[in-house]
This record gives sequence, structure tokens and C-alpha cells, in this order.
Amino acid sequence: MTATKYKFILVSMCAGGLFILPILTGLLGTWLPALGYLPSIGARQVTMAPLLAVLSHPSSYSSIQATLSSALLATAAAFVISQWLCMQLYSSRSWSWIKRSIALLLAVPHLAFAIGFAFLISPSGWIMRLLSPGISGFDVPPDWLIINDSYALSLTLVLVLKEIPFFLLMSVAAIGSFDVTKTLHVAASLGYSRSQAWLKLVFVQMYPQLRLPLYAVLSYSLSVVDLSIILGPTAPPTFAVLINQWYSDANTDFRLLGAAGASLLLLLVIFLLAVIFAFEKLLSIVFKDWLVAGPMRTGQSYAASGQRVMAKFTVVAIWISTLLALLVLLIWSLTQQWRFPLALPSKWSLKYWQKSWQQLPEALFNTALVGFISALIAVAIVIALLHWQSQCNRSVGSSKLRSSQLLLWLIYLPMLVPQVSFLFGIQVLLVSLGLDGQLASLVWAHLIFVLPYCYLTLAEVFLKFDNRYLQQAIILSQSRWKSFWMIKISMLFKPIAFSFAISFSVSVSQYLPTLYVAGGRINTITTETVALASGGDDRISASFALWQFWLPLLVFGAAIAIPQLFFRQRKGL
Amino acid sequence: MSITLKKSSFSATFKGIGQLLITVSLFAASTAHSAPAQTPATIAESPAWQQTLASAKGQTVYFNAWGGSETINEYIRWAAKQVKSQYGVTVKQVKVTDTGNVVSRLLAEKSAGRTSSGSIDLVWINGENFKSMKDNALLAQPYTQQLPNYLLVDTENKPSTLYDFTTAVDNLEAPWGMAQLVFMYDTAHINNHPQDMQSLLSTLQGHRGRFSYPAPPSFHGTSFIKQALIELIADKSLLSKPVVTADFSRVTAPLWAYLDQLHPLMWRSGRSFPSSAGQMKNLLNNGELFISLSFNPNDASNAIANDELPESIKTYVHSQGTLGNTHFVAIPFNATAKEGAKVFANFLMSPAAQVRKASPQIWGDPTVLAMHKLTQAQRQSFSELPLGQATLTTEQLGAVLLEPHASWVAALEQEWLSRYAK
Repeated sequence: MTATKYKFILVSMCAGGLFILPILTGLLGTWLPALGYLPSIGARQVTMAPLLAVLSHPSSYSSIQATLSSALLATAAAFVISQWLCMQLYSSRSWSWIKRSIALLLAVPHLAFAIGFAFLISPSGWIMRLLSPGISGFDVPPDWLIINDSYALSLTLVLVLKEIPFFLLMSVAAIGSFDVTKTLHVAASLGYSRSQAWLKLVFVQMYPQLRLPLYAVLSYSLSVVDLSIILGPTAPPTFAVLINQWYSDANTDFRLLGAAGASLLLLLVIFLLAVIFAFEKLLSIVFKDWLVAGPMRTGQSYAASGQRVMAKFTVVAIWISTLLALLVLLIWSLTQQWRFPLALPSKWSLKYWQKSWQQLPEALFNTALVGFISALIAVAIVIALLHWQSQCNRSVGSSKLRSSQLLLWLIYLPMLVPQVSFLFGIQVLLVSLGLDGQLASLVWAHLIFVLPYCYLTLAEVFLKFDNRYLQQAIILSQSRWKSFWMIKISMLFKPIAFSFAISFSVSVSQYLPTLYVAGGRINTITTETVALASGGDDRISASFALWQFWLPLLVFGAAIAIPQLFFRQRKGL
Repeated sequence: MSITLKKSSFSATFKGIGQLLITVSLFAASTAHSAPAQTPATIAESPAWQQTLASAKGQTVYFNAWGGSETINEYIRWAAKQVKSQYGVTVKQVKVTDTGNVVSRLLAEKSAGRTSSGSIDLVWINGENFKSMKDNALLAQPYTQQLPNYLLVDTENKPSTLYDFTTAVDNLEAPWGMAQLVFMYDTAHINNHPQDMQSLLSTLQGHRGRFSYPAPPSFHGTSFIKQALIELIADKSLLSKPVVTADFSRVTAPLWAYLDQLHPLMWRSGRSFPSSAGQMKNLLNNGELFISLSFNPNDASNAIANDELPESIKTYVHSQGTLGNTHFVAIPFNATAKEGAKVFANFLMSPAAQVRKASPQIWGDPTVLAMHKLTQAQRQSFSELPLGQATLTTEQLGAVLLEPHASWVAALEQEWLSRYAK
């Protein structure tokens, strides 16, 4: 046991105390009303009634069904497609371009993308306007159930399109942790086809690092609210939306249903994660022999090149849908009047930009401030954690795995627990401590959700970093601190800046935590966007959604530009 | 024949309630202020109100109000500027998506035992949310009787200013504006607008898929269901009484039979519903719908003025009348800036603020004030308001139907969900 080990444990425990304890308290604050205990509305009896009420509510069954199918389908599709893209495109000419372009895709907030995508594909959307009346023959939009369909297919599609870039980012990090090119060379020389080699040798090594992101995406898809309101089914809505409706129902007795529903959702998430975990184990047993069965002869070089073309096509399709969604947002934000079936607005106006600009300084400032502080703190905590973790890994052999695995789970917990299942409790906790509506509380609440993403994006490069550089520097400079800054941080500046940008954009997109914690005292661009979107004026929704995109874009731009400016003369690093 | 009879008995019932209300309020007025007659001026000059003004100065009022409409947000910003310059009170609008969230926050504060320095000073509210706040003791002491401008409110002819969705207001919330259910239709596609629920059905047979309503428990959706029930139920007198569970399915059977016929003719064949009245306005603009609904009789005119709707949109109401109600502002039990909130609520009821709000170019929200209680100049400012191009005159707007007893809402919503949102 070394001093660093103790430091590591100490920091982990602090992180746990800061982030895990409130979540547990929040969960408790939700479970009590779920069991019928909410004295503020006169409910004091512990009973199963709220849970039974949820189960017997007419909408619950099909709501849960639509939620399950969309979340499972979206997660599975996004995961499989992202892995297929890696397999097909790794080491191709487009790979480095893909790696660099993920940032922009990630900078587009889910909400902005969903609004833009709906503008694109709805029966009165831009695509139909371009086709009408000439090609389609429609003078008025057709009565087609494209978005808000009962099977949640449009919601699923948008989730797939938004989660593929996230999985790609995680895969890039995972690929970076070992020498894939060499692995593939060795496999090829032994007669493995590329896809066999990828599945048997590369994917199997990548998966442990993709497991938690996979779980996080599943949990997110099961509990997403804002996207479901825009694209999901309406009668009934998805389960998370239904829970939200109960929480905001005028009849306060529905708060108990909301709490019970939120607890059920958590159980559902836990159950599904357990199923997936079991499924993984099952697969690893079933395919154990196949994994070591050696190469199989298949004449598939033609098919392989076809697949590669398809993979490129998929990436291009994701890009085009994102760019078109942004473009149609831009057009709507500059619209004064745009009726079906005109291809472009009949009256243009800068009014909505001017209006939003006049109103938004405060919200933009708050968003930037909270995003900046929480991203900064997250990066600092994660760097400290990873630095000690990497030193522990070096010094302590056997126990390293367990402690870092535990830490990983602790950090990931906020990503795995649905937000609706503990935010209500957190609100009560903060109010009773008199801490609601304060900047510090809001930063802290954002930090809970920012930290895991920050860790995710930095862990690989940090743990892979060869600490011998640092030892040499310490010997030369005689200063640990100086060497740490001058060598390790400088060498890793690019990924740190990138991780900062991701953290920032995660903070920007937080809706429910801001709503519950800020108590109306601190408004952000996202709370304003959602509030205005409830009124249904497309022009205003569009301009606000774009504001929600500019801020992360700016930070991503800076994260790419600044390292290039500062470290131009140190290209060798 | 029988329908007319029943209709008249129905309106007689409500007229009866109205008269009762007038009697009650007159009685209250005569007992409470038996000495010199109170006027806005005497209250305004009273030491109590001067004290309120003095304490309000420098306070910041967090006004929690639905923020989905830029038109309304802009009006609130204007009002905030006025009270800032006139009374030194700062008003900040907290834009909420759903007033139920405000109730949730107050519940959390109540759970935590925070009986003062709460986060909400004033909330825009009516109907069920008001009832919830009243039932759960989330409201401050009665206050509207202290406000000078409250004396100008037309409590005599606008019974919904005293009974908010049949819940007694008891001076706990200040009337802000009047609402009446109206339908908006696109004359580019529909020549003769429907006159009632039955003719809505026949109109849609020629225009399949061009009407919808937001799914209950959305406020506008539930209102549409209530309107349909009022028109279709055999014995309308039942609606002013609490719902009787045993009879519910029998008396509401005509409503469900009607909706079963209506839904296949609706937008997306009734398999999906718009999320809000705002989205419906959007769909009306895009030509997805030809008929939409609103609770603001000036909504269409206002939307045409700012290019949200085409000029071909007109407004209509059903011949038997449509639902009407009042929206209010209320002060929560633990408000931090209670005096500031009172000053702002009083300003919102002032003739100057009400006339601006009623202008179709600004917002078009009908006033709560009684014209005969205003000065000549004030009356004139109201009468000079232009009638919006798609707005009905008071005569055309016709009879205002009162909301059914509050207990009907939950029963109707539950039944609707189990039939159409399974």
C-alpha cells in the first residue's frame, strides 16, 4: 500500500460522498411517496396502493411496451451499427476523418436535432414541401402518421442517429487502447478474414470498455423525456413522459403515481441491465469454442468491399440528416411566414433572432457559466482520479482491477439511474437544506451528469499514458508538480480540451436537473427552449434550438483550435 | 323540442347560480363595508395600501407563468417594466411548461417545512391547479380585497371571477383575464363551419383527418371533452353537481358514442394527438388541420397579425354556446415578496394594463373589468380597441357555458384514457 493508493481511495470516497449519497437520498425521497408517504398532501400511510394504481392505470401497459421496444431497438441498432462501422472503416482513408468529425455530431444537442428532424420528416415537413405539389401531387399535407407513431419508430430512429456518434467516440477510445493494426496483421497472416479477425480478436477486447456506455445508452433511451414529447407516441406517451405528466398533474394525488412510476422505471432499468449482463455471459459461453476455432475459409472479398461502401454510405447518411436538420432549423429561424407546400418561406425575417438575442443574454450567460464551471471541475477531478489510478495500476498489481472497477461503477451510476427516479427526491433534499436555486447547487447537479462523460472521454488516453516520461521529467526538473503540468498535461492537452468540450455540451443539454434544482431562479438556454417549445411557434423553437447548438459548437471549436495554436511548435508531442 | 326544453332548464340552472352569486356578493359587500362606499381611490390612499407599496419597493417578484407564447411573454415584460418604473418592483417571469410543476415545487417546499422565503411569489393559475393549491393549503391569506383595482372587476356578470371551475375563489387569486372556447377554421378549405358537435362530425366526413384536439389530461383536450359532454348529455343539470360514480357510464354514454364516431375522422385517425393548442395552431398554419381550437377569442387575429396563421382563418363558436372561464394570479403561502406580488397583481387588473392586454395586436385576452365601473375615458379606451379581423363580436361569441363541477374532470379523463390511450 502506498500513499497514492490512499489518496486514490480518499478521492474516490469524496466523489462517492458528493455524488452517490445525494442520488441515494434522492431515490429514497422518491420511494417514500411511491409507498404512499407524502405528508405535504396528507398521505401518511405506507401502502402499495400507488404502485397498484400505476399497474392498473389504463395507459401503463402499452406505454411501457412502447418504451421498451423503442429503447431496446434503438440501443441495439445504434450499438451494432457503430461496431459494424468500426469494423468496416477502421484504417480506411475515411477513418481519421470520421474520428475528427464525431465532435461536431456530438455537439448537436439531442433536443435541437429532434426538433430539426421533425421539421424535416413530418407530413408537412421540408422534404414533403420540396416534393409538393409537383412530385407528390399534394396541395395539403397528407394525413400520414410519420412522427408520433404508436410504435415509437420515429423516436427510435432519432435515438439511433444520435447514439451512433456516441458509440463511435467510445469505440475510438477503446480501439486506441491496444494495437489494432498489429492484431489485424497477425490475424490476416494466420488466414483470418477481416470480419472474423475483428469479431474474434478486436471486438472482444473492446467490449469491456463499451459495456458501460452501452448500459448508459439503454438507460437513457428508457427514460428520455424531451425527445419523446417531440417524436414519441402520444396516446399513450412513453413511460417517462407519462411519469412526468403524473408529476405535473393538477391533481396532487398523482404525485404518488409519479413517484411509483419512477420507481418502477428504475426497476425496469435494473432488470434490463441484468438481462443484458446475463446475455453477455451466455454469449461468451456459447461462442467460447467459436472464438478459438481458428479461421474459416469464406470467399467474401466481393461482399466485403460492398459492405465497406455501405458503411461509408451510412456515415454520410448520418451526416446529411444532421446537416439537413440544422439547415431546416436555420431556415425556420429566419422565417416570417412559410406555408405548405412552398419549398421556401414566403416571408423572411430576422425578427426571431433579434427577439431571442434580446431575451437570452441572461440565459446564455447562466448556461455558459454553469457549463464552464462544471466542466472545469469535472476535468480537474477526473485528471486527479486518473493520475492516481494510473500510478496505482503501476505500483499495485492484483487489487488494482477491483478498486478501479468499483470506481468506474460509482462514476457511472448517475448515467445508469433514470433522472426522473431521483430528481424529485433531490428537490426535496435541496429545499430542506435551503440550497435550491443556488448556482453552487446547480453546478453540483450538472457535475453529477457531466463527470461520467468526462471520465469516459479521458480514461483511455490517461491510463495509456506512459508515466516513464513523467519520471524522467521529475529526475530532470526535480519538481513533481512542474513535471506533471509541463509533461503529462501538455502531452494530453488535446484530449483534455476535447473532454472539456464534451462535458460542457452535456451540461448545456441538462433539462430536468436544471428544472428541479434551479427552482426557476437560474434559467438556462435549455429550460427556455423547452418552455417556448410548449407554445408551438416553429420560428421561435427553431431560433432557440439553434442557440442551444451554438454554445457547444463554440466550445468544441475552441477545443480543437486552442491546442493547435498553443502547441504548434511542439508537434512531436 | 325536448332538446330546447332541456337546454333552457340547463341555462336556467346556471342563471340561478349566477343570481345566487350576485346576491351573495352583494350581501358580502353590504356587510363588509357598510360605512362609506369603497372606491379604488379610497383603497389606494388607505394607509394599508400605502404600507404595501412601501414594503414592495425594491422587492423582486418571481412570477411563475406558462412561457410557451412569445406574445404573452412580451406582454409580461411590458408589465414588468411598468411596475418597475411606477413602484420600484422588479418582476421576473419564470417560464414554466406546466403549472403543475409549480405546484410540485410548492409541495416540496411545504414538505421541507419552508413556510417563508419560498421561491415563488406569484403564479398564473386557474381551474384544477387552483383547487389543488387551495385543498393543500399552498395559498397565502386572501388578498384580492386589499387591491384597489379589484373593485373594478366585473364579479356580477362574470361569475367565473368568483368561482374558478366551480371552486370558490375566496379572494385567494386575482382575476387576470377571461377565456372562452372558440374554434378556428380555414376558409380556404371549409365554406360552412360547424354549428355544434354533430355538424362537426358531418363537416369532417368531407374533410377526413383535418381536425383534432390535444389528448387529455392536456387542458385544451379536457375542455373539448367537457364541451362535447355539455352538448350531448341528456340531463345537463347533472353537470353542476358532483359526479355520481354509479351513474357515470350511463349518463356519459352519448359522449363516448360520439367520440367513437369522431376519432376515425380525425387527424391521424385519432391514433395520435397534438401535444398542445400551440401545436394545433401550427398544424392549422401548415394545412394539416382545417379546424383548431383555442381559449382566446382573439387568438386567430393575433396569430394572423404576426404571420403565425394565414388570413383565411376565421373564428366560430357552437350555437348553444361554449365553455368560458377566468384565469388568475395567486400568491403562494410562503412567498418571499408578498407585497411586491400584490402590487403587480393590482397593476395587472388596472384599466391601462387590461386595455393593452385586450388589444388584438398585443395579446387579445378579454378583460375582467366591468365597463360601468370605469371612468368615461377608460371606457372609451376599451371601446376604441379594434376588432381583430378574425374575432367575433360579443354578440357573436354568444352564451358562455359554465364549467361542469370540478369532480367531472378526473372521471372524464380516466374514462377517456381507458378508451383511447390504452
